[in-house]
Amino acid sequence: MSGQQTVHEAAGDWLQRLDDSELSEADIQRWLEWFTEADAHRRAFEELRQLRARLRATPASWRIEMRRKLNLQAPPATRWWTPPRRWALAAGVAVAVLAGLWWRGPHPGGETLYVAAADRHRVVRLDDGSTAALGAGAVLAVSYSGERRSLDVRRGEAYFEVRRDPGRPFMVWAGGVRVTAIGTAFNVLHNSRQVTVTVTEGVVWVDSVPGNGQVVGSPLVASSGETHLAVGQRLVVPLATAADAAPAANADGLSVWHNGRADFINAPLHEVLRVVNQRADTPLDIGDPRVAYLTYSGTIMQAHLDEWIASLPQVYAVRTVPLNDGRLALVMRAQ
Amino acid sequence: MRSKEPCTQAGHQSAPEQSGDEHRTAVKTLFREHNRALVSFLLARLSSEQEARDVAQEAYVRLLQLDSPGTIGFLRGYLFRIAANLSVDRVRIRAVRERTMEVFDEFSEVEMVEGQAMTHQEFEQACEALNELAPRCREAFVRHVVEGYSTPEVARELRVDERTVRKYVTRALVHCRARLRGSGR
Repeated sequence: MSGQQTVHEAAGDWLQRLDDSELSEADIQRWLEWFTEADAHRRAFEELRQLRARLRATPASWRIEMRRKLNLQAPPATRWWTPPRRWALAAGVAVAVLAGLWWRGPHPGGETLYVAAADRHRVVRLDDGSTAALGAGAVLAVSYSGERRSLDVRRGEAYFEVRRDPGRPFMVWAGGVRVTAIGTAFNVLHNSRQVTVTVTEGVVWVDSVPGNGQVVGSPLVASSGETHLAVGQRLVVPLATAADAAPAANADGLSVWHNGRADFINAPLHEVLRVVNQRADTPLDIGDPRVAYLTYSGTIMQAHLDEWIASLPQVYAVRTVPLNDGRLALVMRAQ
Repeated sequence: MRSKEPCTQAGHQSAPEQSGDEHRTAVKTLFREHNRALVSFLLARLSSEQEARDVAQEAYVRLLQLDSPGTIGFLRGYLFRIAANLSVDRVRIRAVRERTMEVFDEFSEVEMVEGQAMTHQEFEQACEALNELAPRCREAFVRHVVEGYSTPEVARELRVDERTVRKYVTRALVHCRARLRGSGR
């Protein structure tokens, strides 16, 4: 390094080197020595880091404006800072296995049962390359044969990303409702009161709908008891056995909003969204159980709810899917 | 909801209890003395505060689970190595938090105040500051910091080596900071 470096220049260099994924141990050691050596080092580093983070977090429109103001050519390609999360899913599963957080047990009749623990979700990679993300407490039975892929959401919520295989339909049962897909993504929520099917990609067929199923969204393309659901559509099937315990009543009585703001510390996103939806023009739904357990800490300003919602894909590896009833569903971004 | 595993604090029966306690204390010391550095380190690598927090906690949990604890010096290196690896994976596991919390009560109080969102006025000042720099320096900065291209990508685009890109980016960042400092924050 050149002779006279100011503290801030050194801080800027470090900041960039830490970004390098191939950071060596010796580098970490040297950085740590530098960082702890003087308060001024720490301050300079933090100052630059925050400035960088704030610049990174500017709205997309500003970034375009910046290029114009700086007389720079249009950006090479539209793209935003996407964290490489190619391995995140696999790693999550691997760690879950190591931690013994869930189990997989072979079952009679070639059926495999997947159970997600009561307090966490679980991602299952199925033999055909499809994935199922199970919400906390969900139970999924899987049995594959040469002709079909049969799955049963016995309880809870499961989000499926289906590997395309026209010769082997992917059939998901939930409380007497059957959803058939070839290659698509959809969510099935099976609780004591109802089964809800939400499609976030492609099309699914729903049949043997007991009672009076209701499609939310644009008119359904139905023929002979079969319902087609396309992206953004949702089918709600109330279950006959509705005499169960009342669902945990909305704890809405305790509003988290206070003077137009709501504070959260390590709150699961499903809780945060419930609060946000009390005030948002466009309600946000959990479209994928993995989203429900992302954690959020921070303050949400009612006056800036739209910006907050728009920022979610930058903070988490999620994307929003517009549903036809005007709501938005949040799902994890594909790997 | 928690405490399905009562094993965390109440391990009276096991033989390696002594060293386990010592290890725990060592990790606590490490936490006290280096948590700030660890969080800064992670924040420099990750996009969000939450992720940094998650990774830091996971790193401590792994440290606690070490079979053969070592000296503080070793543990410190190991802690940062785990954190660096985890930040590459961005593994976020909410479950570990609960276990961690018992050992690091202070964790929730660690201040990690992130700057507020940039105002448009500050943004304009930053643009003015950048305009005082050479075009290539500006370009490198905008691509890397604002648009999120990696250093190698920017180097390839601008046909310079990575060290030069880093130099440009540092220069621009330091310059912006100096110009923004006068007003506001």
